[in-house]
Amino acid sequence: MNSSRSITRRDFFRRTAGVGAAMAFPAIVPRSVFGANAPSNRIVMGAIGVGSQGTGDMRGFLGKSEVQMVAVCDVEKAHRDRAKKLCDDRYGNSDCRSYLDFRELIGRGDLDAVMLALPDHWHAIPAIMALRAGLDIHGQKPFARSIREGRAMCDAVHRYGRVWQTGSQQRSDYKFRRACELVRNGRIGKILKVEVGLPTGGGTDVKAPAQVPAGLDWDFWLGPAPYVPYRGVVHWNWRWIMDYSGGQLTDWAGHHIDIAHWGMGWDYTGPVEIEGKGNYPKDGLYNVPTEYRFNCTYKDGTVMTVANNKQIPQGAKWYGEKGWIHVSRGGLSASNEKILKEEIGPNEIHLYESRDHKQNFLDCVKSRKLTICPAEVGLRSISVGLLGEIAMLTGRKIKWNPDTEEIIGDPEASALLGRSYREPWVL
Amino acid sequence: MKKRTSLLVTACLASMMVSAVALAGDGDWQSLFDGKTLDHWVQRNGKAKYTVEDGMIVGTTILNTPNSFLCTEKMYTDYILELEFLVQPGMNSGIQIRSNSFKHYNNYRVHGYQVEIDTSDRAWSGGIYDEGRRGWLFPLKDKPAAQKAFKQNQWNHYRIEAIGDRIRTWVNGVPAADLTDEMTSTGFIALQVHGSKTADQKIKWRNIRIQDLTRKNGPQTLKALIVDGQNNHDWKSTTPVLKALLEETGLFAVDVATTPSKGKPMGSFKPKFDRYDVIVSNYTGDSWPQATQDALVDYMANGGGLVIYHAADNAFPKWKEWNEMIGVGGWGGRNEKSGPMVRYRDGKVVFDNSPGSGGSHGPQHAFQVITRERHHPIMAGLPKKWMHSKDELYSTLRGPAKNMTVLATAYADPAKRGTGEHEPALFTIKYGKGRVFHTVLGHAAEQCRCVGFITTFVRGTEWAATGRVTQMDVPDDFPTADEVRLRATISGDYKAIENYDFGKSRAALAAIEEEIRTLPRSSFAKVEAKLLPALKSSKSSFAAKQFVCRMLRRVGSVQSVPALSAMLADKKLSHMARFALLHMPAPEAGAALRAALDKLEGDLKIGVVGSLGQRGDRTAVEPLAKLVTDRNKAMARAAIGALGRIGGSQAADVLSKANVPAALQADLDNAYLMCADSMLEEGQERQATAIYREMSSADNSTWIRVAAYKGLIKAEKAKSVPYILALLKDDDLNLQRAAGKFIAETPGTAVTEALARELASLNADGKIVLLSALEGRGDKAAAPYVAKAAARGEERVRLAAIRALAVVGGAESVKLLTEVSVESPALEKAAMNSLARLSGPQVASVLSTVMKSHADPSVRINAIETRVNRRDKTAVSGLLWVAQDDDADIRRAAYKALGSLAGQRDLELLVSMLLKADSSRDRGGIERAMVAIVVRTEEPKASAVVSGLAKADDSVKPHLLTVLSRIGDDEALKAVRSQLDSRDADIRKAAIRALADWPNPAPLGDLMNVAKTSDDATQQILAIRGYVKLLGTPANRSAAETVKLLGKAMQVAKRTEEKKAVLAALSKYPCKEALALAEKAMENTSLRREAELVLKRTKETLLSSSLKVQASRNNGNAKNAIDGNPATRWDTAETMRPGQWFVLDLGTENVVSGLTLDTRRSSNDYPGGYEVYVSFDGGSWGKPVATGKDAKPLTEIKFDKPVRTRFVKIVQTGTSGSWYWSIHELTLDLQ
Repeated sequence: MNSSRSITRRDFFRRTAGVGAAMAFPAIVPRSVFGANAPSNRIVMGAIGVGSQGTGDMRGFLGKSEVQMVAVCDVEKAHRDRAKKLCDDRYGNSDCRSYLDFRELIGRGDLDAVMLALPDHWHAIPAIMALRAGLDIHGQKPFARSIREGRAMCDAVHRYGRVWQTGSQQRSDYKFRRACELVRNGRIGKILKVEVGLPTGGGTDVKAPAQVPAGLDWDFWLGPAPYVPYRGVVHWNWRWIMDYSGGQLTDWAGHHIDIAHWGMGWDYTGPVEIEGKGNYPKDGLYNVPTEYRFNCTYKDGTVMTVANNKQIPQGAKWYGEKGWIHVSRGGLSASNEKILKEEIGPNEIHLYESRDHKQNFLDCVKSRKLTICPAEVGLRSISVGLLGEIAMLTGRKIKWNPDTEEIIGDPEASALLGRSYREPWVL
Repeated sequence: MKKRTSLLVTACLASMMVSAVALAGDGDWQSLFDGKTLDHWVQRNGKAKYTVEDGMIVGTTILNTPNSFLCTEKMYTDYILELEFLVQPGMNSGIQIRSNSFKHYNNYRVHGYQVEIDTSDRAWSGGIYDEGRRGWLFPLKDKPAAQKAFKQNQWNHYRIEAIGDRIRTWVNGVPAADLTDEMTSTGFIALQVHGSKTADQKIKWRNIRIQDLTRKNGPQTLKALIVDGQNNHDWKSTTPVLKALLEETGLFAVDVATTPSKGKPMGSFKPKFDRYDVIVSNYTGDSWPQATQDALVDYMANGGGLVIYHAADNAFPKWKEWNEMIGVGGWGGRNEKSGPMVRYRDGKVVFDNSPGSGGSHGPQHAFQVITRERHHPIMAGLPKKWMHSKDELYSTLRGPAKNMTVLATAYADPAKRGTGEHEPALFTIKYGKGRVFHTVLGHAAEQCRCVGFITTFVRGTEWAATGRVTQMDVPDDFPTADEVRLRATISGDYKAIENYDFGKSRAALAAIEEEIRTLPRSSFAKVEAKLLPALKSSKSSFAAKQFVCRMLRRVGSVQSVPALSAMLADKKLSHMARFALLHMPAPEAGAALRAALDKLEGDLKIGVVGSLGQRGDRTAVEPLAKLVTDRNKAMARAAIGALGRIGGSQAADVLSKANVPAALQADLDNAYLMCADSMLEEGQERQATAIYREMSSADNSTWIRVAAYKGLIKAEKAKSVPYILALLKDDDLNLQRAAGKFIAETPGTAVTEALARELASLNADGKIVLLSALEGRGDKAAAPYVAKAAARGEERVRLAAIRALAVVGGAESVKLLTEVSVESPALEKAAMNSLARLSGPQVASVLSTVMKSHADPSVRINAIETRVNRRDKTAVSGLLWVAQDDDADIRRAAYKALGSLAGQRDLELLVSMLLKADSSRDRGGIERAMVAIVVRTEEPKASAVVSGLAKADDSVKPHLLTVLSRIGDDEALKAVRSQLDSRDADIRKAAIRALADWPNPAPLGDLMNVAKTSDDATQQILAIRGYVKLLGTPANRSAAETVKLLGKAMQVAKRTEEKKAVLAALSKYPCKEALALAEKAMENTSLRREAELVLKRTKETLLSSSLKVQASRNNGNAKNAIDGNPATRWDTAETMRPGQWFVLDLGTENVVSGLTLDTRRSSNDYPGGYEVYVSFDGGSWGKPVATGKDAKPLTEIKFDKPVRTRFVKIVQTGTSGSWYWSIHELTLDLQ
């Protein structure tokens, strides 16, 4: 950098610094509640996306004594009104502010953290904006809709030294950690293969374009996704349309693939080859695969098969030389009951322990430690689902470099690693 | 010397030019060797060295290595080749022509014609040897003139002409070989270095040039005629496939001649066969006019080509010449009079004249095709065996079979109703001067996708046309011995795209998507071409164009760029155009986006700016630079962001000079730092560091400073510690906390120690951040500093330090942590947690010392508890020792710990401890420990306890009896039984209690005995209750038998309470006998209420066990709805649609008043609506007895009035796009 050039810039900066800074977005420096002026235990939060999942998450945070939820945001009026009422009822006041535009919420300048519970296509933009504004984030899984978005999010987390927790709460569930510890400590010997079963897709539906309901900002809901007329799909059912989600596969990849990775110690890597097939609806509005199955080969040659639960029982299952272990929300099982009774000695591998997912996030906001499911891990978990999606969409074997996060020798498939944003949104 | 050499080279070049000029009239000479590099040559097989020296290719032998070949990358067919060579005497070499190398021919062994270079006395240089195949084809023994033409130790000149089936050679202008051979007509040219037993022998070649005559001598395009019009097969769909297959080779122009349809006059069918190089017959049907038949016979006799495709060999059973042309055929009355069957037995073709009709095949199946003539040009290089797709395996074909060469056979497996013979699958027939290729494969278009079919069909057609095959490449996707390989075909209805709109059926579009998923990338250009018309059509809707763009995102290339860039200015379609252009690898896509910047305004332009950023297009920096100061803030922000994403020094330069309004400052700073990040990654460390340093200054905003520091730490690894410390010591907590994250991302033990050493110098917030970060690093080097922080100071700091010690600490932390654990409840919780997690080899032994000998008993107790928390089995001996401590609290803690950690072999010591214990608290504590041990032990042994019982006094015996009851084996039972007649009443009671707690029904008799005989009321009550309880333990006993035993208990029981207890147990054993027993109990008024309840429950259970269920969908799982387990379910396995039903058969008639559907475990799967019907016969349902709409996860349905019925049917009436209908549990309300 030529110094005379930077001087020009610096001079200008000195002149303008502070001028209208309080109005500027998102350059405002949040007033940290951990500073001298605030009770050191208080975490001031906002909630962006307060539909069914978001409201559930928000209720969880409202139940924590150290949280003060002061702002809610949703493009659906009924949602944000309901959320505001929940907050106000909780604190016995009417201080909670509701927003249609998340940019205003992030720009308030008095928040420590936000929770995001938006459709997948809306994960990256608000997250990066919030990170740049110095906020810590509890973001719902799947981490991102595309790997390139996810990478940009991770980079922002690292660049700004933020705390991130993905909502993959199974990591905070005893039986999942227990299963992974047994696997990691060789209780079923060397691992031969891994199987992950995820829910089966629900088919399709036929819907004609319709009037956008009052109170819903449809254009904002679509945001960076391609424009399509409103067809009665907004809450929940967006999951079955590829513009917004990859269906049950990407919805649940952030859970059971995440657990399978944890058990294998693959938190910071990914497969090198992905190949598989999906059954896509032959007609109708929805277009994500209903049934799917793909194999992921990792560097050491181990193969992880991911399929819907009609082909592989739901959950994560590791097959070792000495038996198998399966874990799902329904419980933990093994080829031999004795395996499950094995104690993990004090000098063996003990995995990160979190017993309460949201509490873990709040603790880490205070301690600045990595959460039980940090950004990088969230990205690696969903990457498997997203690569599986690409392999099935292209019908080809995908070769992946997990270090550089690039598809090797297939530019058409590489194009699917990112997606164009509808103006005026940019990544 | 040097000078001379170069002069020589110049001279050679000059002479070459002269000869090139001289020969210019003959044709265009091309040099095969550029004089400098071995570009366009590739070495195969051996390891001999090929180098370039002074405009020559030099081949050098390497000791004991196989033959090596330096081969042209290009294939040649007809040509004149000239070259010069200088060979060291004693060496052998040669020039390969029309040679090939295939995986399936001796693992890439180079084979084919070799023009010999022979320095031996034999002097056959210029002769033709068939390398790797047939050996000598044209030795020079009868050509003395040619033998003398070769000169030892001098440059020799070869001229080789390979034209058609004739190969001629000249050595230094003297004619040598003249060979006619039609085996191979195409291949590479190669320079051989023969394998050698002598190293460092050299041969040099120069002036290698060729006149490629392929295009001049071969037909420009071969003309093919497909004949069709009638066939018992689907000729209408196969002819276009055959035509496309031939045309795709680039060798053929194909016409089709279609006959009148079946039964119609055939007179008009007179194709001009002689205008074609080859006729492909896809015809079987009415006879052709005599003139047409004669024309075909003439055409063939005079050297025509004919291809018989599958059912074409069913045609014309009576036409003699036809049958000679096709060799063998099937059906149409063919039999032994038509000729023999041709089979392959014991390695050779045999004729089978046994009688029988001609033509048969079993069911379609995939079968192996086995090559029998691997040197035939049609088969060259193909694997010996390959799997053909599911097809009819033609067998028992019969015919004259004259001049027939069987190229490949297929085994007709009797398991597939085959003949058990190897039947000819591909064969050729010589007819007059004509050639026939006959393939029995390819029943329909689907079978024509088989790459094996395709390859042999196009080669066979070329061979029939010309007598040679130039298509020598074996496709990469050729089938293997056990795997069928099908080639994709494009068959989607791309014209339908134009008619699509939102809300209409997407079926045609979905089929196209599916097609794109299955096609190989090599077909994308064709798909793209088929997609583009809909994009350009004015008829297409927005939705249609959107679809095309989505597909172009997957298959698009430079071909689509013009159409897409035209859309960029279209308000509705601009985004979709970018959807396709964004990651398109063609540089034209980027150029189109850049060009659009000048033409667009507002949001559309912002979109393009964003796309250029995402493409990381560095050539876009200049046009984007102009937009950084755009008056439209959103535009400026997008341009700044894009420059950051593009990165690099040029973008950084632009950003550093930019003056932007305050509102954009943070964006600018962020983008500037992103540029620095990319510069750092690309090796411009110094420049990147300067940017980071500049941005870390205190006049920047906190978050930009954080990001700048992050960059500095990454860029200047050596200074990372001072940077982190600077952050940790800053007054701004946000900077302190960011430091915590950065510590986690900066590896190295030295870093850990350098930071930990500074712990004491930080304020409390800084300490907590650092301690958490040290914990995250888990590096033991931090332990001493963390320990200091844990020992004293502000509690919140100490807590963080204690937590960190769990990871960074070890044995040396044990004493501190145990001592800290008694200071305050908060510290205790943290310390105990850390003690449990502490790892290291000496941790256990230090804990043992603390547990045994620490001055503070509270510390000792926490140490004992820690042993348990650590599941430390090595602690047992120490604990047994501590269990005899003088301090009662320590003893009790030790008992408890022993219960968790000790095992069977420790029981004896515990028994002796129990015998000595003098307080009841100690005895209780030891008993609980022993019980805990035996409960954990898989097969506990009673002996230690039994022998203790013999020595025990009365105060100890009840404890031992309790332990024995948990052991529950025969020895224990004997010992307990012996105490039933103890003198001491308390011991007798303890014995009865022990029996009542038995884990199996073994003591039933003992308890009944006590109940009958004891005159002590309490003992009798204990025995009866114990008896009923034991009946419930697992036993191989029927319900009726159990009820019989309960009946006994009922008789023996004296009090109402016990009788009621018996009744309460009764309903768990539903059977007729239970009903009888309950009815009998009804007679007793004080038991009536309980008995009634038992009756009702038993009846209900009996009924549900005879229930049968059936469902319209997923019937196999229907029983899950009535299995009493709400975790299992029946579901429709499809989304809810009206008419799905579920039927219960009660077995007998009952009065039903309603039912409950429990779907709570799948809370969305309740019926959208329902109707309930009843019926006596399961077929006549009448009108519904109940209907409803607003079901819930738990739906209770009440009938207007109870109905008598045997069958109950629930019909689902709602619709859902995403949910199944399921029933986890269905219960009926019976009267």
